[in-house]
Amino acid sequence: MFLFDKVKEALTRTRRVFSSVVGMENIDWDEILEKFLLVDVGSDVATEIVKDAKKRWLNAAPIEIALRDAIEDFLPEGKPQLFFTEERPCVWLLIGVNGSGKTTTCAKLAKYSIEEFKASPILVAADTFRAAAIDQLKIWGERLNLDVISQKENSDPAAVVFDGLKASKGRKKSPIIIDTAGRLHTKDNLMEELKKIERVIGKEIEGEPSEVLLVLDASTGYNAVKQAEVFGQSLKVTGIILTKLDSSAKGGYVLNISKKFNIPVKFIGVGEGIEDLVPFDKTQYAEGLIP
Amino acid sequence: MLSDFSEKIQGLFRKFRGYGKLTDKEINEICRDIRLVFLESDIALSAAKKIVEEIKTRLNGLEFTTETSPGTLVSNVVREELVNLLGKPGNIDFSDKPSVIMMVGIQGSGKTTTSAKIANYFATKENKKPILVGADVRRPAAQLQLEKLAQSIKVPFFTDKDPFLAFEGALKLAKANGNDLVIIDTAGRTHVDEELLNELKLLNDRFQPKNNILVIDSMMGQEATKVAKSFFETIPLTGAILTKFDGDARGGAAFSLREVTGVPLVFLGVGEKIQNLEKFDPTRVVNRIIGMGDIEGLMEKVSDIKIDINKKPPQEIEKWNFDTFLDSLRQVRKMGPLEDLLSMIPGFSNIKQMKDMVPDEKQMKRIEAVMLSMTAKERKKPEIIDASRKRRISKGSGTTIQEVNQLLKQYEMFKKMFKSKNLKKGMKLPNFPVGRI
Repeated sequence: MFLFDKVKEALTRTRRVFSSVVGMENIDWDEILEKFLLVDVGSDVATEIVKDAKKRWLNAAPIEIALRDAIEDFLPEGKPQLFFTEERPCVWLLIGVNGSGKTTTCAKLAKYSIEEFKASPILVAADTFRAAAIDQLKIWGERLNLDVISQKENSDPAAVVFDGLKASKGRKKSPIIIDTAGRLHTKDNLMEELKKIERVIGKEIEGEPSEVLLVLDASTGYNAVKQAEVFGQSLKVTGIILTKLDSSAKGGYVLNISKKFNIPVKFIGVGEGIEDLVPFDKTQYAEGLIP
Repeated sequence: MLSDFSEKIQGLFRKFRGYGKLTDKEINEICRDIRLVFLESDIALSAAKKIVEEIKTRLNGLEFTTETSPGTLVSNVVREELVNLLGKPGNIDFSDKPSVIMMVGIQGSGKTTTSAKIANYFATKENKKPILVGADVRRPAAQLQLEKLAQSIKVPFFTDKDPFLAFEGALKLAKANGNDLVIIDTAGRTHVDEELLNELKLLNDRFQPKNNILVIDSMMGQEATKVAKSFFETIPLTGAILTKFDGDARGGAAFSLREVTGVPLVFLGVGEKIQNLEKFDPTRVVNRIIGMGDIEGLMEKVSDIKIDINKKPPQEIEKWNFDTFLDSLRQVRKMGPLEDLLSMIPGFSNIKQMKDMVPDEKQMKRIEAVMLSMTAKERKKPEIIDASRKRRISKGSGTTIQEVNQLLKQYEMFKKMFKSKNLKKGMKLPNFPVGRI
């Protein structure tokens, strides 16, 4: 299957870390634990998974199956989906730290919504801070033949969102995909700005935003857990999009985030192309992690 | 900055502050704890192992006397070893005319913003005449982003349709116009993308820039050293810049980069503004982590802002009024968020409760609003502010009467405080102590 291959390919580098584990004659559990740490799984969760895998292994499961199952069972049940309905305009809000890949992901999500829901999406450029961020989204809009709502740089992002919602409703577009400025979760004032955006959306369309998607860079270390915590305290984060999984070995921290905050990973970014956004599948993830 | 890491380290020191003489068992215990903190802080395994070994050897050789507590001795050893691990800062080589800096790194690490920051740094601090070159032709609007940043700092900008043409054209232009520093912003590429890495190699072979700078996100995890290694194997890196250092990342990348690749750190990106670029100084970074503050950094900030001599607060307390307060408040705010400044004061980051006492930017703005809602006369002679004036001020500033009252009260207290101290002539008055209103 095409998608499956892509995910597997994206995770090959992670798998390499674990390849020495398979077929180990004398299993060194400490070494396995260390391997988990090296793919940025936090120590508490790593310990838990290794413990679980050990139990399965003692029940005569081969080591790689034991590890895979332990990882898979650790992640929540069911296939994560994005909320979309034709009854009202839906709003998908993208947030995250600087450079995590929000703008590109907005475009990928627009494309996805067209294919998956036959929807007619619209993009809102609410990153008014970074120079040329608006232009970047506009270029994507042109390529995909989509409307992009924007204002001047440095204008109030909440005002851009308000205008965007009005215009989208008028043009009968949905989902309304909003790109926000990257911000470090440690900047309180910038987190307040996001809350304001969320409030504006809720006031304009009841029950929205239906998706608040936190975009995380797969090469980030354990700090990603901190990011999930703080963004999650400020907004009702509905899912995670894990980007740049093609470039790096990591993303192990999603296990910690899943356990600690119960936020599911919804999509993974596996390349620079517009199609390179794949729904997260925990079985594939586990199989990708352990060969 | 690195607050997560520094909290952990400081917690560690608190733990054995009460120890008397350290036994072998206790030294082992300390070293195990330190190793764990390091590993959890994204420091690469090899680097963590090495530094813990060093610390252990030194702790074993320590003579414990009654004068210095083991806690102090241990923290000194750890501090010195962390400084060693970070290594000496790197430099920019200016021997070529024009000198070239090529910025490389993976997507989203902050190359474009940092390119502009470097141009601004050398233009304002070392009188260089930089030119910014947009050689990232892949990311939509990347060139435009750099062009806009270049405009904002009044630095010339050049680009072309492919990186080789951009490079070549920029060098010609620099020679013609007398620019002595050419900064090339290249496209983000992953460290596993052979094709794009090869392009980088070709660029390097053809133009041989003296400075190849790797830009790395300080939030990066165990992957950071792998990234650095693969770029290093492609082109000779001369230095690295860690970006987003103002977050609360554990900064493991900073501590393992030098150890794993030998590439020195040159700058740190410490904020979203164009001037938020700091020369890397290992001692200062470590001191901030250990909670010893960064007085040098504070002094730099103070000297960086251009204080208007005419607006210097008067030395005589009689001449103080809300006009002078407003001026000093604005001078302080120019240096950045108060919280950042206070974290540079030794010992300050250890006092958790102090954090709540510091007014944040929002409160500062409210205080400013109250003062701005006063008439010129009221600011000069606050005594005339009566109940009706207070009502007007609170309405005008969008604050409550209580808040206005509090500011007036603080003003009175401040005056009294310094009158009672019988200030000698020439003694410098501190800035207005802005409390929580």
